[in-house]
Amino acid sequence: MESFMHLMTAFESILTNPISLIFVTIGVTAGIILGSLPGLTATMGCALLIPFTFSLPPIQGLVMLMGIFSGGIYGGSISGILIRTPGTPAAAATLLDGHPLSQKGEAGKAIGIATIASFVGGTVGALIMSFLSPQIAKFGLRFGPPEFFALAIFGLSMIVSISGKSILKGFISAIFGLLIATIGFDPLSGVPRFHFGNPNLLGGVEFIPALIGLFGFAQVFRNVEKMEIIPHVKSKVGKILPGRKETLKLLPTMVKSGAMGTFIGSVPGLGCDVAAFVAYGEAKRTSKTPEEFGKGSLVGIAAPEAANNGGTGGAMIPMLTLGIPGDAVTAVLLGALTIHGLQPGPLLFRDHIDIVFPIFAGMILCQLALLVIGLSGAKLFAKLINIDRKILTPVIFLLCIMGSYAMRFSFFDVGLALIVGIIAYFMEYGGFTVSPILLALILGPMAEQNMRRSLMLSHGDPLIFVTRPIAAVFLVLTVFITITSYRKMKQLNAKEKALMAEADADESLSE
Amino acid sequence: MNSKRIDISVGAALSVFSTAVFLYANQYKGKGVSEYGPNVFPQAMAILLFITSILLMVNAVRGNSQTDLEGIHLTGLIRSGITVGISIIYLILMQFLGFFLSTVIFLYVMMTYLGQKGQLKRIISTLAVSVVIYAIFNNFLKIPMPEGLFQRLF
Repeated sequence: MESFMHLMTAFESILTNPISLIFVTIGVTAGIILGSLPGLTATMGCALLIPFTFSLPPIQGLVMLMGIFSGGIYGGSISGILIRTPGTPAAAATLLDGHPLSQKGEAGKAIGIATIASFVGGTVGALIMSFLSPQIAKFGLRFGPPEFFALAIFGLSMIVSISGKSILKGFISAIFGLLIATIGFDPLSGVPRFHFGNPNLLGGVEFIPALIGLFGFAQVFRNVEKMEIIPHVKSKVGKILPGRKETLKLLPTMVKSGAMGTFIGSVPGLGCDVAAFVAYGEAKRTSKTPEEFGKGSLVGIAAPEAANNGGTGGAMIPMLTLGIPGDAVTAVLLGALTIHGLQPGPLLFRDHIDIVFPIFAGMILCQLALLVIGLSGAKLFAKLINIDRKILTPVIFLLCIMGSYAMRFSFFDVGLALIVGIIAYFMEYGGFTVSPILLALILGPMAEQNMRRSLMLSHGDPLIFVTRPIAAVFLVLTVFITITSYRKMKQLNAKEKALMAEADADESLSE
Repeated sequence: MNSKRIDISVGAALSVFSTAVFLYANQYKGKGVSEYGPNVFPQAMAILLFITSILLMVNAVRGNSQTDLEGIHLTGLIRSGITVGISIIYLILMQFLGFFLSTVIFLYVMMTYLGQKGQLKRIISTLAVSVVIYAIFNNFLKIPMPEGLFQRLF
């Protein structure tokens, strides 16, 4: 009830100050545009547009970023439906049914359903986030250094287990990121580390340039490399608004998938893409007509789309309440909060309740904006997919350069972003994913400080991490999940190998 | 290069790198308030990196490397390299010509290099983007842009 009152006051303060609404609209529109362009993800969108929020008051800046997040996740489905290329990874499940429907000439309907599902799922997610977060934060107030250390390790190993095909390579990425995070002043003793006499590195590797390097420049290089390969597809969008009966019939699926997506998204490491696939699977399992899935089933569009937008709210929960980002985008949002001088974590809910609830209210407003903008602008966004790559890429390149410069007006940062971008570009060739690095940059200082504080508390006894129940649970979970996902990946790889061997055998037979 | 060779060379490089980090971090030992000084965390990470990179090499030698890696697309790679070169020249040029002029040149050159057709289209999009970006960063966000020698003359 208390949360409800806070939420209402927050709405009042946002609505009486219409300028926030403008930022919501800008954010959502920019998010949809970036999300719908294949090759530009929601993470990249947030990374590129963070500099624009520096000069804004914290709430307006954050609301705009959340708009980009929600819009980006939704926008990915537009290109998924139209050209079978998900604009963001989270939309990969939506195209399974979205694209077949669009081939039947009902692209408009597919986008319409996706928009409404995104709105419903996103709203469910935002509501769950608004009412659940304060409780989790209260629980989090009891956490001490050992618990936060365990949580940071848990968050990191989760993203490693999910992303990429090799757990070993994921761990190497994460450890490499943790090492990069130690550059600069040691937070506990003030001793400068690994700065090699360069004053620009004393403060550590700045977050924004690293982020733009990892997700901006690296992607631009990839787009430049594959300039000729990306096909140019013309697509037609018909009537957008789906019938009322159809929509009402899908509503239970949307609400259920939205709630499911929220909870999956709230587990650190599991992002909106996992949420979408799980919801799709669940919808297919419980459907009376599972054979329609993959052929343009409306439920098959509604379920993953509601889940991935529910996931946006879910992913915000651990980020705001415990300071543990759920995925790459929330890591960016966490960085944005810190830039505005707000440290996410249980204390944020105690000391800055005036900021927390407007964030929740803003998230709900973003969903409304998404519905309106999505339904009215879908045709325009569909046209944007065909925007000329050869014009767009240099512009994105320019935005990457400006974004890394704008934080400290420093050309050193631009160079740093370029170098990080080149490293990230080659890493992906070697099968190393870069998301663990971003999370490690955020979680590294947290893990280090809390590890050393715990050891100080226990006078050097490492058993403190297993004798405290909550810390022990997280560490046991970490080991358990790592082992099970390692086994799963091994099985998958073995299956793939067997299939390939079979194919080879077939080929040699036919020769 | 196949994935086995990539894994072995990356593993070897990382094991050397982690040893170097471990030794370098030794100089931070004993600084700070407790025995768990600023050296502990980097050294622990260096040890973990060493172990994982050795595992990566062992896996590769045993033939367990990932097989489905994307091959490098050579002409594309060269194209990416040239764009990096163009952007470095752009950053240097910015110091002399100022933000606006160098951005106009950068965008035009990049679009031409990437093969955008239509002279008029390139010129219009170059100018439009430059003006919008300049207005946003300079007037709205109030971020000081390098003026350069040339821009100051006007």
